[in-house]
Amino acid sequence: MADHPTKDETADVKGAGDYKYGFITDVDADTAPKGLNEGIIAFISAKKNEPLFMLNRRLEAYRRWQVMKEPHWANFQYAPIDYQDLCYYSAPKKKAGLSSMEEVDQEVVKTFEKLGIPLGEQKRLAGVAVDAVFDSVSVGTTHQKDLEKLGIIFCPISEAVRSRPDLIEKYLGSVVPAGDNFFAALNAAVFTDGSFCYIPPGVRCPVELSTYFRINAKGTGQFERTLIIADKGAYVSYLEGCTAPVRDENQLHAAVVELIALDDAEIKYSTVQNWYAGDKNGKGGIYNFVTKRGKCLGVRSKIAWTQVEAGSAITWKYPGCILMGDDSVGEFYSVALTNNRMDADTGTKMIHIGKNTRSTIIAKGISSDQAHNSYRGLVKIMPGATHARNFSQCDSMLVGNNCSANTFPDIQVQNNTATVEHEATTSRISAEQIFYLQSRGLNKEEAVALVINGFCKEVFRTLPLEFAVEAVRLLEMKLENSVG
Amino acid sequence: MTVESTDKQQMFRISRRSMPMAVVRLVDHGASAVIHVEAGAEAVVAGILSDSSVEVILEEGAKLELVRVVEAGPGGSCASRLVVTQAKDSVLRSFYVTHGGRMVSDDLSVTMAGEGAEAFINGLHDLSGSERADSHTHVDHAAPSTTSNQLYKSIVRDQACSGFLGRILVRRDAQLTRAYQLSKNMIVGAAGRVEARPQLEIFADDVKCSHGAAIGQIDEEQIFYLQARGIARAAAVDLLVRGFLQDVLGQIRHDGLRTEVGQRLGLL
Amino acid sequence: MLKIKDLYASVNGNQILKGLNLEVNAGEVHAVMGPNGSGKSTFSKVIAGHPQYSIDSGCVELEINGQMTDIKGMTPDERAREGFFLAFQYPVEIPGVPTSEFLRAAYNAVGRHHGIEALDPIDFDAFIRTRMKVLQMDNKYIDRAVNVDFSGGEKKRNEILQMAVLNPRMAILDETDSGLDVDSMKIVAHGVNSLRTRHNAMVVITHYQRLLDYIKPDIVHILYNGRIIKTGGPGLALEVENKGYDWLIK
Repeated sequence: MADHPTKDETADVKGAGDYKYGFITDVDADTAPKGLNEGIIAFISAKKNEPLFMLNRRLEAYRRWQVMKEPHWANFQYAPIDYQDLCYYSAPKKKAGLSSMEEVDQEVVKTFEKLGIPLGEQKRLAGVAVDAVFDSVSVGTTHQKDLEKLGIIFCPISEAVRSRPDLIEKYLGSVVPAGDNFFAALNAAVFTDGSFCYIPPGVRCPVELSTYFRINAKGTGQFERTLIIADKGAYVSYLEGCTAPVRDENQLHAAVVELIALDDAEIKYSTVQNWYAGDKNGKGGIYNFVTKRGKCLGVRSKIAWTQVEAGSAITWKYPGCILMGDDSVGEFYSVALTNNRMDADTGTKMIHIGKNTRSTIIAKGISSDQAHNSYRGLVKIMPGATHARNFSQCDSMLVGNNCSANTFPDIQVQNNTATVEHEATTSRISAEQIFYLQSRGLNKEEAVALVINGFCKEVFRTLPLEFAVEAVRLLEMKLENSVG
Repeated sequence: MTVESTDKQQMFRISRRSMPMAVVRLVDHGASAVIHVEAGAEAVVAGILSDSSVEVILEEGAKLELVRVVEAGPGGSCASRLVVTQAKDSVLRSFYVTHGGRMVSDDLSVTMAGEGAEAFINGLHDLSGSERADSHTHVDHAAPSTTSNQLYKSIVRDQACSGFLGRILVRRDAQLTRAYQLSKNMIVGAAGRVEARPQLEIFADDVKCSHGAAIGQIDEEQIFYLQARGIARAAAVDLLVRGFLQDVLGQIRHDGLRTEVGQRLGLL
Repeated sequence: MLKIKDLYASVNGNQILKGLNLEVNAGEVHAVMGPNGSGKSTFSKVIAGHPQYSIDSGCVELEINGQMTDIKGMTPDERAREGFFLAFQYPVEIPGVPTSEFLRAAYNAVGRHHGIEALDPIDFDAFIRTRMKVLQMDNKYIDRAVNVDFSGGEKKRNEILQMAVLNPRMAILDETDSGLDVDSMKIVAHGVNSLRTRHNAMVVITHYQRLLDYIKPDIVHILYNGRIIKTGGPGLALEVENKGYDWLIK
């Protein structure tokens, strides 16, 4: 395969504005040629040293994908994606068999340090174990040894495919099958890395597990895959962060995340998504087509999604829960902020199958400049889900008069003991509100932050503290110039 | 008032001289009607319809209360349609009620083209057996300071199915719009189904909009309370269903029509 | 009138009543007092036949047609039609159903069972207004939905109004005094007292002695941990007021 150094790149892209993670890292990369065919898939599988069943699965997914159509029902338009003009594998060059941090390209380590994610064991973050994914590969996972003592497996998924084929074969694709949708099929065919996490029965994971995704290479799609399994009575809180360099082309990100909670298990999955969103005129930015789904397989299990969506040119994402176990609980808390010319079509799916299943949806959309922000959600109560309950609240806030806020809930109830409530409101952050707060001594930024914070409070409350602080800062920064 | 009817279409033109107001009856030809209320005039129109298409034009300051009782007959199907255009300061009160059928659907579209227009759009599905009814509403706020209020309620007995799709569009220039929409559903039957899709699309920032959907069943504590006062379970359920529908029925302003519709539904 | 023998009863799998015995005769007013969690409300719900409460063992007998009859298999409305009445601690709100319609439906349901001719809305209206006067209730109450947007005092008065309308032989008043100011309590007590006869009986469940200043009981019971642990005359209530429950529990 051709070596494809990225040296001649320049980070000087105009109009990136305040996106502080927009730098490009200069590394020697091992990159597959552009295009997608069975040969490329075999190449990826070989690069990852995968067992044969994985290659077969990839090829099967690829064949399904070839006959599927790109979905265009979401409330936005985008230029067609040329899937043959993308590169499906890019990895920083490294020595074979990565065994310690010292062997990782120092440029990559520096990149993560710049992003506030030190990977060296001596500098690692207390209380958070991090798996860092750079383009197509995981470059380092911290705290691994400590976690091993508890029987917790936290490693790159490519490693898990080799070390725990039993768990992979049983659970990978069991929540989001390859045929689920166009992007999930694509991901199943070409996914390169991501995190794998298994919490054994009765274990409460003592640290936050975290994956940090970084897209660096040009013309490269990122297709990560995450699988988290919480065995009976286990608990884990998982954080996901993501950034990308400023580039004036659109980059494709099509991830799949699967969560599985067995009896009495609980998984909390939090995302602060800050991919590059393009410039003021809508040039560049990540196309984010993500399928995230959790399955509450066991009785009394619980899955909670929290997301702060502040980046991407396009967001197409509906983290959902399939509530199979009796008394299982699904939660979805979301803040989606769109500014400039961003489009977000995001929400959730709650499928109630088991008895006494409960779900809560709190979605807050903030739209400014010329952005479009849509909530799309499905609540489905199946005939067997006696006494199922759902409460949904979807609030939108408009900042300025050239944006839009939309709410598209779909509620289907097939059981007469179920109770479903949906509420939605739209309000605005007005110049008068800001003036009122300013007249009480706050500066404009503080005033905006106060109003936004109040609006999003119920969602931020569910984030781990450091993440909540980051989320608030992110929103403040994005809205600084939007309030007239 | 002038009425020009052909076999295919009934034309009503209501002017200020048509006062005092009387209830105009629409005849169900399975055909179409046009109701044109001139500036400043008021009218009350009602009809028992099946397949039908009604077009309403409300001129400046015009007021119309329109009650449509749609009957497909047991196991029958029908599709009805109502298209309304509202000028400045006009007021629409629309009431739709059906017992459903094999496939009964209503498409209602209101364009609020003039400033200060107001619309009260209400509907009621009273379904049993394996009847089905679908209501689609589309309210387009195209002018500033317009107000819409929607309340749709359904009672779903046995294995009936009620569907509601309500879309509110607030255009960029429609500042100071107020749009409210509520879909409330009570599933009484063990195999009843409800599908609710309330949708908001908002392009103006100085507006107040909300929508809600609630799907529930009869509260067992209320049943117990009524039983504790000697009322048998079936009668208690009946009483609660009537209570549930009371407020939507109350949206019919014309006393005679309200009574008539209530009696038709066995609510009074 | 009412005879409870060795009653064990549960709600949601928790046994609350553990061997309760109580006998109430015509013309008597009993008070049942007890600290929080002693089983007072469970007691009233079980007798009224709330579906979530189940009798594990023992029996509840109500005098029906001069015969003591086990009421275990009877639905709440059947019990009500046989002359049992529960004034709820937390009256239930029923949106959309006018109070007048509700009262008339109840009156006619109970009346029909006893062969009394149903009243039409006009006659019923006249009948109800006389009852409302006793409770100093404004006429407009009956046009409002049952208990919806009623104040605490209005709800309790509405309970007693229902009692006056249905004229039960055996009534349980579950913490009718809770949430009432002194003036409202006097009105409610006056309403209750006006319904006392030689032919009916009442059990007044209360946390405090206060109500018993206005509704004078013949017999006072102390309920604790699902059983009657002491029975005495009106003096027992005063003793509890002064000394609390602790001395009884030890």
